[in-house]
Amino acid sequence: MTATRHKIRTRVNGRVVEREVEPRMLLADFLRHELRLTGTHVGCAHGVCGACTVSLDGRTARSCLTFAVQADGAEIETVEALAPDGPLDTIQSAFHEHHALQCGYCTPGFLMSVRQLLREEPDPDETRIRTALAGNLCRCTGYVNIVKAVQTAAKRLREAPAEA
Amino acid sequence: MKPRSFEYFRPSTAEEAVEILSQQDEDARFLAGGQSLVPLMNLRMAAPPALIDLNGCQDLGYVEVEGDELVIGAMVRQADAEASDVVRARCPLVAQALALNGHPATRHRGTVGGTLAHGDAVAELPGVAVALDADIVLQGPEGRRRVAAADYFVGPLITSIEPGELLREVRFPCLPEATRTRFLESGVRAHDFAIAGLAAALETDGRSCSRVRLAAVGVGSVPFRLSTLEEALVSRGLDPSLVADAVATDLAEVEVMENPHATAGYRRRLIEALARQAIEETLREGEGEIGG
Repeated sequence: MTATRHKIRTRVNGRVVEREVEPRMLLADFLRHELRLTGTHVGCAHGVCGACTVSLDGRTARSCLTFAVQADGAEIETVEALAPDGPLDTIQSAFHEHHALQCGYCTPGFLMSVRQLLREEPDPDETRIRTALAGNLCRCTGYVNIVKAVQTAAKRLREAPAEA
Repeated sequence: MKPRSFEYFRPSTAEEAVEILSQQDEDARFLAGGQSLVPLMNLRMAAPPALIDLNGCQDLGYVEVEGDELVIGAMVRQADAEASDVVRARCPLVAQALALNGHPATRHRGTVGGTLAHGDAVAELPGVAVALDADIVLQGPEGRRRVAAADYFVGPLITSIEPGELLREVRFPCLPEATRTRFLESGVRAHDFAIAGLAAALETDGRSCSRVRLAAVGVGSVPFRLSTLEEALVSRGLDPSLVADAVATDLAEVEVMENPHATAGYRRRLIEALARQAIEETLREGEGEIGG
């Protein structure tokens, strides 16, 4: 069975894209397969692991729980927006320095969630960090180094907020 | 897995949405935030032939006070209701419950109407609706009807929404300022599905209570009131030692859920512990105010 395809126009990492999509295409698959933005990862595909977290109209969302057709007219940012051509951004550098990843599968989702958190709360304590990231699962690190990385990134962004 | 193929509609008003639904197969579904429906579709536990996306319905996105009721439109995002000054001032229990409902990324998309329409037995907001005797307003081709929360939740994932109807809004009573409210829950992972939770609204001077409203979620197949405990606290004052007997009486009527995360016995103990915690925290809150 093939459903009626819909034309969508959306802005992804600042670039306007137009495509025709089947309604059942998930936003995560649209980003990865249609736009080749493979930084967004699909872990569980039912909203539990957070690996597919992107920014949708300025707020984090699970791209496996949104259909691409719903992104018509929306503004999307993926992990590729953090350091488009140049060096790692503040949050990415902090993850690197603190060894806040091992296999890296969950990392894009963490980075997007951390970015959201630090925009809303520049100085979160450890409990707030852990609560805000509870929807992102990591099977390698045990989270300790992720929390440290977030604290370091938060401190640097407070000192040089222009980078956020 | 990927969802099965479906037709997609994007109406711009609630009325249009209801009309489209009336023309579709009976298995067609409304799509709100998608945080419960899309996982089920990805797992192919649900395969609606058509989705009617409510995200274009601007007329379902209101938070208003009407008389002594706080009215929240179905498409208000959970994150927005949680952060709303009106919600926090008039019915803080709603904001407290939503803060525990999933994660930031799911609350940005998930809606107030969506969680009520899904009717998960352990979801937070249904517990608040039952505790506070909220009304759910359903809109069908023939017009609107109000259903009391106590009648609205029928079973796990089963509500009294009839075929053809749209959950339009929820109406919570505004709470008197002196009401002490809290939503308590416990689960395997914080902010994931809880095992059980308790919605509590106590009108109290810190010692005696004029009115107590308590509802448990994750214990029975639908949220229910702990009415024996409510009456005991009103007649005998804020006393944690009243909990054990009263909760035992309240649970005698209920078939307590069991799953691999928690036995029925564990759930009984848990709801007792949450009720005791609610009373103890309320007592401490009172002391803080006197001392501070």
